[in-house]
Amino acid sequence: MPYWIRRSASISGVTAVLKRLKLRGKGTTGALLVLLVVLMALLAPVLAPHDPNAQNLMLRLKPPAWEQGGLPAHLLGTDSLGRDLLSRTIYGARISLLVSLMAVSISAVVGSLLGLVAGYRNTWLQTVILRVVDITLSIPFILLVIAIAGSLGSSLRNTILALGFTRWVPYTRVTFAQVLSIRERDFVQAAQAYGAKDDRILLRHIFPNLVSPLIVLATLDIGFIVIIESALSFLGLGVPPEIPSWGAMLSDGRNYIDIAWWASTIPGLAIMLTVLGANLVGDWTRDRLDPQSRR
Amino acid sequence: MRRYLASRLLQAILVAWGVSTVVFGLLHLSGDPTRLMLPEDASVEARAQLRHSMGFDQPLWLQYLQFMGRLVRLDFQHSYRQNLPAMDLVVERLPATYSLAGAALVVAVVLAVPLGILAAVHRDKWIDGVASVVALIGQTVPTYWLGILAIMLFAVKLRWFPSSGGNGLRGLVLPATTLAAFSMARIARIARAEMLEVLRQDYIRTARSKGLRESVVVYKHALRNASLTLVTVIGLELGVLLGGAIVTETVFAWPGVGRLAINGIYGRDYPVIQATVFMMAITFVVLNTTTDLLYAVLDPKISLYKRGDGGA
Repeated sequence: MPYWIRRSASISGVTAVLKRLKLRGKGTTGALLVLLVVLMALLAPVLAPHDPNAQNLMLRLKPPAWEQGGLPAHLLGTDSLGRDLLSRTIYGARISLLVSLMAVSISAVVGSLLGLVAGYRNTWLQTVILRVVDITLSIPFILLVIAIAGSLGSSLRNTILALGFTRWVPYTRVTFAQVLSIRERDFVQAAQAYGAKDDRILLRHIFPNLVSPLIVLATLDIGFIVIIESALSFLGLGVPPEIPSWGAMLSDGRNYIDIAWWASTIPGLAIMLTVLGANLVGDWTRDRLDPQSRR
Repeated sequence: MRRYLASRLLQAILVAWGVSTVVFGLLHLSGDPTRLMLPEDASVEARAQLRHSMGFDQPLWLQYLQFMGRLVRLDFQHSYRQNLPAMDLVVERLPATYSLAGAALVVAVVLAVPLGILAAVHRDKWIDGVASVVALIGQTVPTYWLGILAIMLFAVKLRWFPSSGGNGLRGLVLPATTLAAFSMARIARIARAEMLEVLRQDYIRTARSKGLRESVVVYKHALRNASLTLVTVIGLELGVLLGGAIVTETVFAWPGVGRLAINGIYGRDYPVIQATVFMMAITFVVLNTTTDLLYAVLDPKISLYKRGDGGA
């Protein structure tokens, strides 16, 4: 058994627990943070006080309003080109949210399909898929993403593709490990005995049992993808510079850390709070949906 | 054991071949490798000429065979930007990346394992709270931002450590600690969960009822059994750290392969990118195989022959 099956076997799913959904404590905090980011992304044109790309070289690197020399018009200060940091932070939520949701959807669909195929029958396809998993796992994830994003060239679409098609492995691992055990269960055997077709068994009998672990995995993954997307933009390999993104803001602010702490601190905080919110919601989902994790 | 070893090695070779194919594919991912190598307004003739001189106009399978033929000799051709073999450039910088990742692993393990154990032993006490806060921060703060904050505080303001690498041990402190944060969070969490699991076992109750001191129970009986999972996790974590080092190197201007790769990507220096990805993956495969073998040696319960079937 490859080493990763040992590790993924700990995530188990039971849909019946869905009805126990109750929001409390860290779940609430996480939900509020996520809601804030979603609102920022959706209402960016309404909320942002300035055009995020409007430059004003007279107002370069102005500190936040509460600091000495700050301006009330630029609540969180300005960057090296005099652009309003608050507006850019609000618009930046769009990129983080869009990229992470799209990338996670792609990898979840691709990954779970491959896992279903690999887990259901011991055919040559299984061997091929498991080998490709091994190969992908042996290339450091961030290096692979960077290399692919770099080879494709920087654009919003390429960033989503690079992330979506490199992150499918965890979904395949979880689906595969689950299918292996589910396919031996009585209800699947019964369906087979009744002569149900493979696609029906896979979709109607096996897949519903995979929904919970996949949802847990996907929610926990969103925070991670937000970090990786901003790392790509930070390195200049993500979305093009004309689109405001937190990673690019950090990268720009980094050149002025000795004179303008806010230029790199504010986008960094935005990333951290988003990831925190997504992780808390992910933890909460796991506590609800995965009985094994509740120790 | 010998059969297991052989099958594990065969598996590693197969993965190495797969990685080489991925590495070959990187160049052709965008369809036309010259697309990004020349400015957008380059003439059709210039493009065709470059394609020809690079051998990109040959059939793909032929290019693949030639690539594989060179790869066996670890030849990734010359760097497009520096007139040196790409492999030499990578090999020259590998030690810097290894030492950064290794130092980060030491920092992470030394801090995280005791923290995880203490959190499990004193469950729901203040130390458990500290551990969860550390785990939370480590997993939510992007490494590169943490690096910038560390530079801001410890290099610019307090001037305790240099902001860039290459200054001996003192230069290693900030990058290694920054890189360690994410792994630290994960190792601490797993150490805690694993210890909690072990401490529930019957043999621990037996040990306690024999009247053994709590420290003996925790450190001799429990930790020994928990260490099995921890060894696997720590082995895998080193691979994660190697990947993370790439971004950390950029923040701290660390002279490793990560910076080489990033600069290679900026300069469309494909031989360098390919050689870096290949060498990092090979390192990872070696680490993984070693971890798996170590696991097999450590855990007497594992039947080596069964695990040696290579998956399915």
